[in-house]
Amino acid sequence: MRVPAVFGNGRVMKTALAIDLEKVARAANVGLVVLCGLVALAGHYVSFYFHFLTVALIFGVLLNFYWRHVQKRHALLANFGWIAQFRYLVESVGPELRQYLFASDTEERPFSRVERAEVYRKAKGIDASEAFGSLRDFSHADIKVRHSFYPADEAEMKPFEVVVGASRGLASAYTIRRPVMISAMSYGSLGENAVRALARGAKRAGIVMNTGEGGFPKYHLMEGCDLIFQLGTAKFGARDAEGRLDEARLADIAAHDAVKMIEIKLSQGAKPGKGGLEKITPKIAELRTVPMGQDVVSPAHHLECTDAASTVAFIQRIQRVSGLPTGIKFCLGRTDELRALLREMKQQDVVPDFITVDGAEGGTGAAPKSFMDYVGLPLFEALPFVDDMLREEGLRDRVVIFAAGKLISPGKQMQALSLGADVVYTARGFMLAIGCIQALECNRNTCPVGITTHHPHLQKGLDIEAKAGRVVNYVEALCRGHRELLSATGRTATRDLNRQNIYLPVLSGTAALAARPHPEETVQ
Amino acid sequence: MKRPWLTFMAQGIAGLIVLCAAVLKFQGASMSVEAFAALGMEPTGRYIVGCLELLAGLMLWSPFAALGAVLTTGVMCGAVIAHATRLGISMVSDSTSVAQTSLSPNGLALASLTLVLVCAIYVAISRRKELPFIGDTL
Repeated sequence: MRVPAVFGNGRVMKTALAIDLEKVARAANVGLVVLCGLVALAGHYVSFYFHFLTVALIFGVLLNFYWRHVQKRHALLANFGWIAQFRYLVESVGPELRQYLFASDTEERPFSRVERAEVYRKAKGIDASEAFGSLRDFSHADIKVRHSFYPADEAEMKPFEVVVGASRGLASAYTIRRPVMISAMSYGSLGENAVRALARGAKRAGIVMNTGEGGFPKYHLMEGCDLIFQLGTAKFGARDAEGRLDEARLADIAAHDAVKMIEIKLSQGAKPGKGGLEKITPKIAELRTVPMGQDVVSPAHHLECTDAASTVAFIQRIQRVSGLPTGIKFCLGRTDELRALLREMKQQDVVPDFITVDGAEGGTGAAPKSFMDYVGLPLFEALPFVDDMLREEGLRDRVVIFAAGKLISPGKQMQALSLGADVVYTARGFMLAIGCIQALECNRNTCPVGITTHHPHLQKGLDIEAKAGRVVNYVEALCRGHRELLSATGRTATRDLNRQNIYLPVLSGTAALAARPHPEETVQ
Repeated sequence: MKRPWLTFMAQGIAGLIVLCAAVLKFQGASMSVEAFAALGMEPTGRYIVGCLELLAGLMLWSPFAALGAVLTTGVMCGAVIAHATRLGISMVSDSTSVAQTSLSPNGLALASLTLVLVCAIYVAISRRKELPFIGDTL
């Protein structure tokens, strides 16, 4: 029974619009039986057609009896009967109602409507200017790019150029010529049309695409864009039967012209320290070189990497086998372990050609909620740590830093570049560019826009050619944004950006780092 | 679903009989016409029930078998009501004695009705989780 609010003197407070749901439910339950009887009588005495309703109501009465007196799992149904179904019904359409009608433009997660709209407009080549004023909160907690009194002229701007693998004197050293790359998304997590649309767009825009840990990158290779092959903890595509490295297979993959770099994934922002159960279809099984018909588990770490020494040895092994610039990707957890790893690198004189810092805010197809929400450092916390530690250990000039984690707009990307990143990655930015509507169904194979699904009829709507054009538009708009922002900071090259170009709120450990510029940075 | 083969068999039987019944109704078989005339629903009611049976039978042979089973059960319940209130329940024809135990057309209809009802209820129960909206609560 509903407990009324009671004041100290025992009087009951009545509110004018309060509805006693228990009474309503009782009336509804009795009413159902009465209505059934009345309709049955009408069927008998008036017209047999009424018995269509009689049958439906008999079903209703029986179901209602089951809900109220037999089943034990749903308390609401047991207490209130059939009208409780309205709650389930309304709740089931809640996400859609909120997304379409009621959620404000800035409150949705992971990306608000404002953030998504910016990507959509960039991808469609529509003017992205805003009217009247920013929709963001201007609190002290906002991270901002610091501009200069003296913006740089367009004519002075230097082209973007980052060389990966130069410090090892590799013939295969790779020059990245645009500041944005497509982050790791495997065939498996994405369908083939989505992979090909992104790859075709990457080829035309002249950017690099990461294959994700989905095994042999058959669909990524189809469009001829430059690729970073990702070696996940399960080493799909380059594993032996036990899940250890199969050197011959890796060498085969590295031998493809399009494969320019190898990224060893140690951990991932969305689920740091966690492996997972992988999707499996005959096509996926073939590309991942795993048997069909049994569960495929990504372990939480590479079987070869159990401590700093073995991890560095593994990096060296991959560098030797692939002959390509090879880096590692991780989401930062314990900084003492990173310190130990870097010292071990110096000890063995083996340094990864790049380090990808993945923020804990990174996305994935499927991860346990507690890992998504509560494990790992966010990008803007981790990035300065990694940058500083590399400098302190004297390794910064040998390592390129890639950054990933919700960097979908030029503003956010510029902030990451100011905090130590040399190049930025985004995956979900590109998903939005090819039509993602944030339906949050990536783990159900039911993606309504055909991106994270393998159903042919859902992929049908994703036209590779049309979406490749969106990718190009998005990249062009991002790069244009970069140049404009860079000019505003008074810098003429992205590599000149540093922490003087960013305002960090005094809320976190990063603030202390931000207040402490690198020794070699001169005040300009 | 504990015994899928039994469910599939029940779907097959119920679907077949219900589709036959639908065809008889559309053809205007004398037994159907008489029955619906007695209910005061001839011919509109016969066509409505025929359509429902057609739909239910096809659904029983499709991925929407759970809904098909519920619809079939509904139509059969309607038939039960009709027999219980208007058409009567005579299992043997008037011209033969009980001793000969040969089923009348009406008796045959009742026997198949019972069979379909049992099959449809079995399918509906074993596939109840697949029902839209309420499946999770059953």
